[in-house]
Amino acid sequence: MAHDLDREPSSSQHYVPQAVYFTDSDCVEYVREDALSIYDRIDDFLTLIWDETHLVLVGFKLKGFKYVFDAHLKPLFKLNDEQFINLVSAIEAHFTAVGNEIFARGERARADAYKAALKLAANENVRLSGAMLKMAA
Amino acid sequence: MTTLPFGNGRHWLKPPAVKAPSPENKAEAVLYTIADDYMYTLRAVHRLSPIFQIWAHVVGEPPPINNISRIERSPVKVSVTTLSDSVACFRGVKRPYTDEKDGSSILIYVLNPAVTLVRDTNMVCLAKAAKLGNVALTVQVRPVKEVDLQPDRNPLHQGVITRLEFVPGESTNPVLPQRHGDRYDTRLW
Repeated sequence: MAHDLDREPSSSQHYVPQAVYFTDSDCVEYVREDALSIYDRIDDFLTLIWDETHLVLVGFKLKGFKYVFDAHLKPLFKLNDEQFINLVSAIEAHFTAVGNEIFARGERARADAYKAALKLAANENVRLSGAMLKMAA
Repeated sequence: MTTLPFGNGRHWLKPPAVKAPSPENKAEAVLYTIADDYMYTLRAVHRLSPIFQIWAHVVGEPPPINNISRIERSPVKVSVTTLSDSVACFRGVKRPYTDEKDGSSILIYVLNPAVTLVRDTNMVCLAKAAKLGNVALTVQVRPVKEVDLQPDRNPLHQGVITRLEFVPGESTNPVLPQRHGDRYDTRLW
């Protein structure tokens, strides 16, 4: 890691919302703000992240990302010159795989959670950078 | 204003290994390290709140940043805890986790802090206290596999803390993660 990161944090360094990949826990996470976050597990792939009031959706976590990337997203990544992957594509890819099961079971809350994550990812154009993806690959 | 010397002997991104009750026997102690990946990935995007929370709730010390003594003098006292204060321990997260299809070896320690630390925009100190509602704090640990063990390792070193998360709570005293019966494989204690 770069030595710059070791420096003490400064008030001039603002958090800029962006998706990050955590290698050791194999998940991608996006949060809009650096504050108290409440993680609400939806299923084995999706976790919604709420603010401290649990009323405002501020992000999401996509778990087991390595598998989804390998199975569904590599061609898209190549199309983007390996610069980034749009996380709308990642959520859609997984929802396509589990959508029938969700509707067959009538799991409306689960379906709504996917819709909420998709809307947030689309509205805020959430992307995972190629540098992060190389860690996942 | 009195301030702790920066770092107070610690590097803010390299917390020491921490003791924890063994998942198998709460009366025995094991040792966990904290994943560099977690601390440095957060740092790379300037997301500080989870870093402060690792220090306050896992290491059991205030984060070694400038003017943290301001927090210590605050009327709202941060819950400084360690994994020894855990109220429950589960195994298995029922989701893919690196090379495990179902994350069946992953450990989850549950803590019940009442007040945590989050980032502040204040220029004097970047941390501030935040009261918590009905939430539980979960700390995930990936056990070290036999094949990964170095011959000269500390025999107590049993795993790596990969992340922490506040999750909606269920029940009171102790507060456990909502639907913990569904989300984890086994409650160990």
